[in-house]
Amino acid sequence: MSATSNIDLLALPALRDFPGTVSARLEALRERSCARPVPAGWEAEFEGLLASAVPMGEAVLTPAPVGEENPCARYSELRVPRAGGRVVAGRLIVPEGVCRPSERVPLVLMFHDAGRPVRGWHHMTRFCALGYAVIALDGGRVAPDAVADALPGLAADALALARAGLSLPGVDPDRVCAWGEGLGGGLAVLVTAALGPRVARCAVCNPLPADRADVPAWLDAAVLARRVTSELLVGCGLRDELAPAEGQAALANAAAGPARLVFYPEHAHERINEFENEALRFLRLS
Amino acid sequence: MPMPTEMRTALESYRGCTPVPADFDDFWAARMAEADAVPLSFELVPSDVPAYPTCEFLDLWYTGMGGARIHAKYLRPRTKDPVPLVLQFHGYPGSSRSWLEQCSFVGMGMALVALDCPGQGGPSQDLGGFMGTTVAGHIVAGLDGDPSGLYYTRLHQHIRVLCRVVRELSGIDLSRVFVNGASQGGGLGLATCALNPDLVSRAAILYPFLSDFRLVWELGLDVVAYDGIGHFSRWFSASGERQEEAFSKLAYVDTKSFAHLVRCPVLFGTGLDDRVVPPPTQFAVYNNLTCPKAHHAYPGFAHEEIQEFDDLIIDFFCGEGRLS
Repeated sequence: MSATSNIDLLALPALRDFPGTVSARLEALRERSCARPVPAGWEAEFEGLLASAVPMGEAVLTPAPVGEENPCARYSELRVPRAGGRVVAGRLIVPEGVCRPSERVPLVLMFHDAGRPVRGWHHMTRFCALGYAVIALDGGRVAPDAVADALPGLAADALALARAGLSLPGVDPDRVCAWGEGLGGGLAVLVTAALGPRVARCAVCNPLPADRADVPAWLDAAVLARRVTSELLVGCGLRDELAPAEGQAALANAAAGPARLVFYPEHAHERINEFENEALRFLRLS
Repeated sequence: MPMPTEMRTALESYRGCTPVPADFDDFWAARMAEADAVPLSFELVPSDVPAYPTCEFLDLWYTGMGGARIHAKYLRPRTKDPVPLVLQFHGYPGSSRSWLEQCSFVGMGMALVALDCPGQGGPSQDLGGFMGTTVAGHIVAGLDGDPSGLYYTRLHQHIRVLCRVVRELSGIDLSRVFVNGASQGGGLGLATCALNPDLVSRAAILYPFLSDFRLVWELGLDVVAYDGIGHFSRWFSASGERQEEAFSKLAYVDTKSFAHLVRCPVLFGTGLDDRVVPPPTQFAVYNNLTCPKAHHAYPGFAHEEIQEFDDLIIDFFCGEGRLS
């Protein structure tokens, strides 16, 4: 099943066979599927990840060095022990005061891109405004050309952190969203594929890796999308060279659940204002 | 490349290379009086993103100078108690950032008004009528006429009207109105503090644009956001015929010229590798500030997001305004 998209809005039918045009490129993406080989045993490998990426105890929270004065949020650094003696680091912000209309709040699982550190506390505070808690994987800065090597460890960390997040006090495990940009988008898709319907909605911008032969199939977001039954929103900068639109379209078109793919022809691998507005509409849970 | 120590030391005392016009304060008092004479007219309408149980998203439209329809995003927490308000200004030549991005301040228990500068990347109207070239950027728009007809003069007047609107919004704690802005937003933010000192009580300013124009030109950095200066010089002052005139007029909208009028505490940030807004021009602004202030300089950062600075804003705005 192909994702719904804004191709009809953007593409001019008279130019769909005209090489080099935006319209021709978009038409080719309409039914795009994975080009990479997908070995039959990929799901068994993924099940292995699911079995191994479990928290080995409760998350340990310590007050963050910022935000003490904010009456609407509680800021914590978080440590989650997982198998193999590894400790996963993350950031947690929980809404308080006027930003907390109910005792139990929805949770956003947030993942950042390659080439940058975890998002700042001020940036993350945006979700408190919505009445949502947010937990972010502090996976360090992964160089864009080192994604394939870093991905197995990051995937296990992301999943362990997400599982720990679901059992945090005050979090409503039935109202969980995943959100990520670039590499973080790929991790958000992976976590959604792993947690199934426990993730209500997944919004990703320029997700990677998607349809890339240099990463194992069980870590490729375009392959994992076959296990994503939750609602999926993908924002795609058509000029993205780090996460080519072909891979992103393959990802969205492979989703097992309802998926929407929004193309931004003038954008590359970058933050997209209009997609953030789209995400704000999408992430509103009833 | 790291900034040499001797350069950094020199910057600590650098105050800019163009003097503040002698009649600067009177000039702006007259401009503010003109803005205050504009009949106040504004409306709030639900935006095209849905309200959340904790937050409302509204489009604020008001009538600015010359009848222009000016737009701002308005976000506010759902509470009956008065809340602080942040006046947010965006970089050049874009628009106010996404509704989601603006939410960070609501997550701090604050309302937020994010102006869309006329004629840039948002929906606010620019009614034009500037004397001289208009193809080369807003800095030089109006430069053939009196400084009162410059684009940025009119913009500061639009902002003055916006400040009057803010005073009329319900549920706002007017003793806690803050300014936040980066780049053009930083320049506009500081001028807003200077021209509306009874309203603004704190400001977070990151790498302010629109300053020390002559130095920008001298350094050959009249490109990117400052390219209007380069175009004007090539076309209208190729051998310096109008240099003095141009920079004297621009001094009326120079961020550092406003510095002496700022009274509120200012948290100030600079990426020391900034090639868009040269650090010396930022130091010129900071060094002219006579208000309580703190300067955070970030080696290795250019004209980009500096999240360590953004994180400082949380406690600066939410607490008692202590400068760290």
